[in-house]
Amino acid sequence: MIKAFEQWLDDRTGYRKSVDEALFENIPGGSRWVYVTGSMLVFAFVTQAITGIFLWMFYSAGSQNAWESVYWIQNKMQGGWFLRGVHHYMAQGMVVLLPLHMVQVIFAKAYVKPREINYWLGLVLLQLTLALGLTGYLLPWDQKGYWATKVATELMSLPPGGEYIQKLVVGGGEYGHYTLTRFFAMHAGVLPILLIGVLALHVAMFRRHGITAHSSADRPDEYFWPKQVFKDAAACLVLLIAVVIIVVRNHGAELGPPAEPTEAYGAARPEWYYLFLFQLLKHSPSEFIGAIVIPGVAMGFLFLMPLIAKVQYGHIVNVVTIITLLVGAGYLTVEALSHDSYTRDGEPAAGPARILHHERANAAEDFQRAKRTADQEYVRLKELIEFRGIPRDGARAGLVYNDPEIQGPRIFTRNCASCHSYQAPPDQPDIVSIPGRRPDRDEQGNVKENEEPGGAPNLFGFGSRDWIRGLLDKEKIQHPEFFGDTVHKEGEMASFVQDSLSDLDAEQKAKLEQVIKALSAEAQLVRQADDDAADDDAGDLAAGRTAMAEEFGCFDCHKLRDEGDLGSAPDLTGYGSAEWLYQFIANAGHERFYGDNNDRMPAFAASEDPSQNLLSQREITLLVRWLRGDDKDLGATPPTTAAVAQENADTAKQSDASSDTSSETETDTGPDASSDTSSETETDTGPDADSDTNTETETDTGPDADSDTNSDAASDTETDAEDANTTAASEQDTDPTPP
Amino acid sequence: MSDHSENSAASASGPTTGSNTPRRNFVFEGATAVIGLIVGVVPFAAGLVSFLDPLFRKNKTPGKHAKAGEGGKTEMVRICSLEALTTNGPPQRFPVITDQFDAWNFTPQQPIGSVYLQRISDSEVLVFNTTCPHAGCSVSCDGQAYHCPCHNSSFELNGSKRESESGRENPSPRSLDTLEHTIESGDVLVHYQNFYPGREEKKPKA
Repeated sequence: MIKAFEQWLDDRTGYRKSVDEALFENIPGGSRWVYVTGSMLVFAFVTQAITGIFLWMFYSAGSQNAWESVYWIQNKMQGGWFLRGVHHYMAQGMVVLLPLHMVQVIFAKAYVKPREINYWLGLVLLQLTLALGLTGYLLPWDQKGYWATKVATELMSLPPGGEYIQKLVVGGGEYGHYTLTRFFAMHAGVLPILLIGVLALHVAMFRRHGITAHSSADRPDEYFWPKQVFKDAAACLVLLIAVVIIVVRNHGAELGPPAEPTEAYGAARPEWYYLFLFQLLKHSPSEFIGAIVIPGVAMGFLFLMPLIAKVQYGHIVNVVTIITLLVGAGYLTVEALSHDSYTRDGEPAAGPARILHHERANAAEDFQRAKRTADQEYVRLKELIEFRGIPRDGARAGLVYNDPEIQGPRIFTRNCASCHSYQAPPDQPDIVSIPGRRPDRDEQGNVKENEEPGGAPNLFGFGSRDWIRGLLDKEKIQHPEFFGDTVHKEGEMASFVQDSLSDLDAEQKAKLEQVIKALSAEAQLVRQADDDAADDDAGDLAAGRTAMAEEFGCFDCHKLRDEGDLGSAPDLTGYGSAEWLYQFIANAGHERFYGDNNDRMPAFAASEDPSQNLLSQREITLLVRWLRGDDKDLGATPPTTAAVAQENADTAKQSDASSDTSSETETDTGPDASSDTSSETETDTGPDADSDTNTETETDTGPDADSDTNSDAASDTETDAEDANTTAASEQDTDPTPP
Repeated sequence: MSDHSENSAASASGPTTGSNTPRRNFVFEGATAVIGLIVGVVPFAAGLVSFLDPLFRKNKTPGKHAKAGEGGKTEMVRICSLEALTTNGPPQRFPVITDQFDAWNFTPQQPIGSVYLQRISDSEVLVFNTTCPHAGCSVSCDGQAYHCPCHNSSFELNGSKRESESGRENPSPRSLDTLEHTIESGDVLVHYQNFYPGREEKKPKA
């Protein structure tokens, strides 16, 4: 039956002849393991085609969908992480195999007459594969892929006419939807089709010329089938197993947080197999030479090798050159990796070496921090998505943009870290610290003693009991962690702590502890709420406030609620609370805070005209929520844009209440700004998964209405604020889209 | 190379042609066939598992905090107030607005379908899914009957399948699909569902 069918098929197709030709090709000298690389490459490509077409079924090219669809593949699709992982790592397998295949061909002298054309076709296949790697790297549209690819396309503009090439590749002047659609069409359409075409020629020509080896007495000829096929298949199996192991160990391919064009990404690196080009660029006198000329010359040399081989010793020159190129690329790769993992240990002797050492350590620190931050952002984003799904305008605009835990560190790094640090204690290694100002170094690489103070306190845990305990510790207050790098190092507070808080007896120490609790309770930290409530019940907080007045004389300078006066030291009423912190950041030089004693703290939002301010209301609010850790636990406080806007409304109103001098129009600016945007987006309930759970009728009575009536009468403010607290949730789709 | 070995698996079981057929080596041939099968199947199977995802995806996957959808069967959606409907007035078409899940996107309060409501007494309302049970087009109403624009299905105002009047066939296998509904505090609440078209029984889509 089978025989009859085979006969029938062969009569019509003649397949037996083709199969025989393929299988019973003579291999001079017999089958060898070194011949497997070509078959492995074909296998890897077939795997890429299969997995790629399946991935295509779930991928959506577009700047609001690409990351989101990949996220879904990675986290929600049945077996999606495995599929994507195989595709990702098999691509790397191809890149590893390509030079092996090439080296084998060159060593076997299989690139010279009459096989020159096939060798050139191989080089074209190499280029196509690398182009597939480059285009594929962008498609997830995460920070890593975005920035790495951006560098590559920016460099495209260097050669003459490159601007046009770049524009065509990117689909316009800037990265966007068309960049993804073009890259995707290249990656899934144009390049694979070209590759299949060239590969077919490559294999056909290989068949025509046969294997280069020669038979010898101890190694008789063999047919391709079965031993060589077995070796090829076994090698493919090894490759597949290796890929599967890596995929399972890494739980698929990496995915970072979504691309953020406005956010510098300190860990922008190409995929590892491009690292040598990346590193070459660091060594090159100019980008044009490093990115275009040197790689171009190397590639040109590879193309010329069959011709060079014609002259005497030409083959040897080729072999030596290819080894040199590969060793050089390997060296650069290792160097790039080692630079990124450079540590500050082992400081060399003073001199240029020491400067270089610290520069490298700084760069590596920044790189590693950026990487950890990106990981952390991704984890946070995952929590957010689990919590409320991905809004229609994408994870970036809908979730990242308004999340304090992601935006807080970004804003802090941009605006605060030039003086302040955010340094978690060693027992909390999971928190990514942000170094403040790095010490200045002289020409010998030694730390300069600053004549002018250049730093500011570490704000990790600001307002918490630990933080205040540190501030009131004579050992610590003059340390750079607190006032050590500020003019306050020699200020009255520091001398008070030194003089009056140094030799306390046990009873006084207990009172100081109550003061710490009472002052920290002013911050109303969400994460400390239980402790605060318990100590309030125990009477510690009231006792602490009494001790501030009677024991320590805090109110000689500070104001707290009804005690003391403003003007000489920061107001302790609500110290560290969201409202206090907001206003402090807005204008630390205000009479309520440092007044004329303000050191170098800029006023980030002192003007009533938002366009004049360094930070927007939204940014300060996000920063404050992050510094206070209000939104760390999603279950406790939904990290909604609603909450942010509510906070905005609150702070604006409270500022209204607290600053008597401000006119009606002045107090209006805050809430107005927010309510304007919210009313515009009210109809678009889209991105706000939380707010929709409130009934629609609330939208009419939310802060919108409040802020309108807000300025009418000062006495209204309190009830308004309460209204906002209870009903605010509904329409705060404020700022749903980044600028 | 998987394709080689698979081809050869076939030829190994049948007669090989050509006078130069080498001596058979069943160990190699068998092993090659097995390995070839594995390396060919694994990538394909990896893709297939994901491809079949829709068949196995039972629950929609919103965020935990996103309400809606959980055990969607009991979810009643407010359509309009009863007052808005005139008793024995013509049927009115309303969008069904509720949370929408579309692969990775969760969007609250979106129109996800539509219904016809007709108030037939003080406390009774007829509720129909606007999808034609014949082939899934959307029916319209002229105040006298429901008509489908695609294949001429038509239905009485009470939803029952119209018998042919003009000799034109009515291809619909069943009457318009009614939907569960209640009236609570003056509002019409509907449990919106879609049903498989083209069959006599009314089977809800999961």
